[in-house]
Amino acid sequence: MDSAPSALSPLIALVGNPNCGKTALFNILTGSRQKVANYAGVTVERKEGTLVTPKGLRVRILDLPGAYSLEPLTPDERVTADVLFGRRAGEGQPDFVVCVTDATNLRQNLRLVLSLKRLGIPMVVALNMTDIARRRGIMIDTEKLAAELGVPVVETVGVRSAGVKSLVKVLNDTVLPERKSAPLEWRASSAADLEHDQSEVRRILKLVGGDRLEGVTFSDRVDRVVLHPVAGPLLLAGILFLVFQAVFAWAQWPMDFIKNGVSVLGTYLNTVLPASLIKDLLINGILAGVGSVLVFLPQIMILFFFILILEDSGYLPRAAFLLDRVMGSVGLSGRAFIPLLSSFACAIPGIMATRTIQNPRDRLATIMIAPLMTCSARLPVYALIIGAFIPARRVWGGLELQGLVLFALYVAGVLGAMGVAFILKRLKAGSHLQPLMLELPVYHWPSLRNLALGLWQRIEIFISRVGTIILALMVILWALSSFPAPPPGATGPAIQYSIAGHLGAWLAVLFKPIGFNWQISIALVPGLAAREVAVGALGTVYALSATGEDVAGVLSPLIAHSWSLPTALSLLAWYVFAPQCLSTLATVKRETNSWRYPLIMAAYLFALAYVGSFLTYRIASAVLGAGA
Amino acid sequence: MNGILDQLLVVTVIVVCLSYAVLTLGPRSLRRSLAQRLLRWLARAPRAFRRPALVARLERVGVASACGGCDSCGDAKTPAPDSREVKIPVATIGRRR
Repeated sequence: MDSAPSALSPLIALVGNPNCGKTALFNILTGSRQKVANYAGVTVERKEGTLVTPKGLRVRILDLPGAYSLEPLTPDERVTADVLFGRRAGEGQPDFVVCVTDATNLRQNLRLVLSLKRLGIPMVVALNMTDIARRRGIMIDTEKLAAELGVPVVETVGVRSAGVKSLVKVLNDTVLPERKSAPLEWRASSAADLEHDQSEVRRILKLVGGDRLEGVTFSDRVDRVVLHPVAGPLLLAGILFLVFQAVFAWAQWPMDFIKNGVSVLGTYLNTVLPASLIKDLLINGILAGVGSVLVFLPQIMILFFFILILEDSGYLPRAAFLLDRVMGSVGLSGRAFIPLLSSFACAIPGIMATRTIQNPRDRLATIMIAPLMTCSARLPVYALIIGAFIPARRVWGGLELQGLVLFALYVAGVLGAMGVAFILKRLKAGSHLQPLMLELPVYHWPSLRNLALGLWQRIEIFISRVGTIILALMVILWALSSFPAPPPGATGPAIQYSIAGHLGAWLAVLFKPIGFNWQISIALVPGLAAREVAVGALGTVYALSATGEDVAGVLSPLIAHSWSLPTALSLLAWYVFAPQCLSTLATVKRETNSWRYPLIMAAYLFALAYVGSFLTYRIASAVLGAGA
Repeated sequence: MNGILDQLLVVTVIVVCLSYAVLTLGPRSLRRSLAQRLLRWLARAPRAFRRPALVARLERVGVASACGGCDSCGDAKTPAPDSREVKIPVATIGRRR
């Protein structure tokens, strides 16, 4: 995506109700790969791309968060309103608006079209999802609709490149007016305006057709089971359970393949390179560290494969509906479900997604608990420890024991989040429960293109993290663990005499009550940058602690040999709660416009992690025996 | 391997990694000053070093928030909250006038 070709290029904004296909259109028009999913609130920020029209005009295209009206109720709707009114610093109002409408739900979408018309910016209406509308027997007379609205109307299918030809033609033929510099004056809609718009919508729909057909649709039939008060929650639990079983059951052979590849490369480098500092850096620093993280790529891919299917099918808003009562009992709105579910991928987009929550108190509570959801960066840590300490066998009629433990860790994170939300609710006197109003999209089969693209993006993100920040931190950790060199006559491993060794010994005093040794204590420090870095750091630290050569790729048996089970369980408990991600704290600062909340978050998460690990270690030691 | 060359290579790798870590995760003021220094150095460096992508990235460093390389998390500030809050009584939801 070309971010900003020129500030003077015409600016075209894609505006519309949530989940009407704006981002899918944006991706096809600009060649971008922004996230697309079948629920409202995926886009919470303006995204920019460029399009060169057939006659050679380069235009900037803006993808804006979905909005139901021009009077914003949520922070994401405010982004859209600010752009349209030209209130964003350094950016004028758009020269042209493409109002994207969902052809299967024109009754709701037309109200925004009428508001946008009043705004006075030249506009075209893109009647999107016309393929689905036709399949459902919804026929819209586009010519009549254009005549009634007084603006061009084009049919589009945002998931196919051929589906946007007519829109590109309109953009090509339109002569864009001179840019206005002064922000628009906007008069807030009165009750009379709303009544007028509604009756106008009814009048237009009667003329052009396109009103939603009555009767039972396929989605309604599916929802009878999916939203059933008993079958629905059972189905949801079953789906989540299947995901965590698959993460272990399906990933073994690709993980072995990567592990063997790293090991072979380590042996090869060991053979061909002469004894030198650079050889030590390559084998014990880079390969041991980066290799230990890279091996978890298949598990992350399997997790995202399922998340993407759930996102694209339209199931996620149903899950939010099912969990509304549970979430309400701890003071959260059902609308918090999707930001919290996004946090299973990464807390940062999850925290951003809270912009769709209207009530500021609910939004803050959701932000504060988002890091307790188990993000994908924690998966390598969990998988490493589970792989080392939990036997790979089947229990209770064929269930993977390792998958069960992983599921339990995810549940522990969710329960921790619920507990914190409950306490926040008690602390915030006067907070009241907001009813959940959520659009349930039509089910559809996940698009193979979206699935492949989404998985590819996750691979790119993971490999890019491994190849950039994780690699850089491993090199720094290697340097800290290798210098200064041990004094003459030293008997222990060289790392004990290094800067990292001294730091580890100092930190070990702090972490000894929760069962962590000095190697774990060192690994926690670079793990602050990103959680999975701790795995790489353990790889590097153990490689440098070992007396033998080529330990890259064999971290799991090494920790199984040197840690006790209570220590392993304590570290798992630590990672369920610990705020080991600086980027998350930076995002909280940005979203709350204050240092207060990230500091409170860091403090409470550290305290929770320490207490959780302490209890786990002490109880496990008492039950299993100190030397377990 | 030549001892000096060996040490030079290792020091170069460490300096590059340290700079990258600071540019990615460091405090904004430090990131900005380091990026400006590197941009000045790049302007004087031979053309082969002046990669447009690198220059663009360095120019963005001072503006963007610290990022661990997660998903596209954006860089815009949250818009100021709207003081107006519409409260809909639960009993009226789903009923038409």
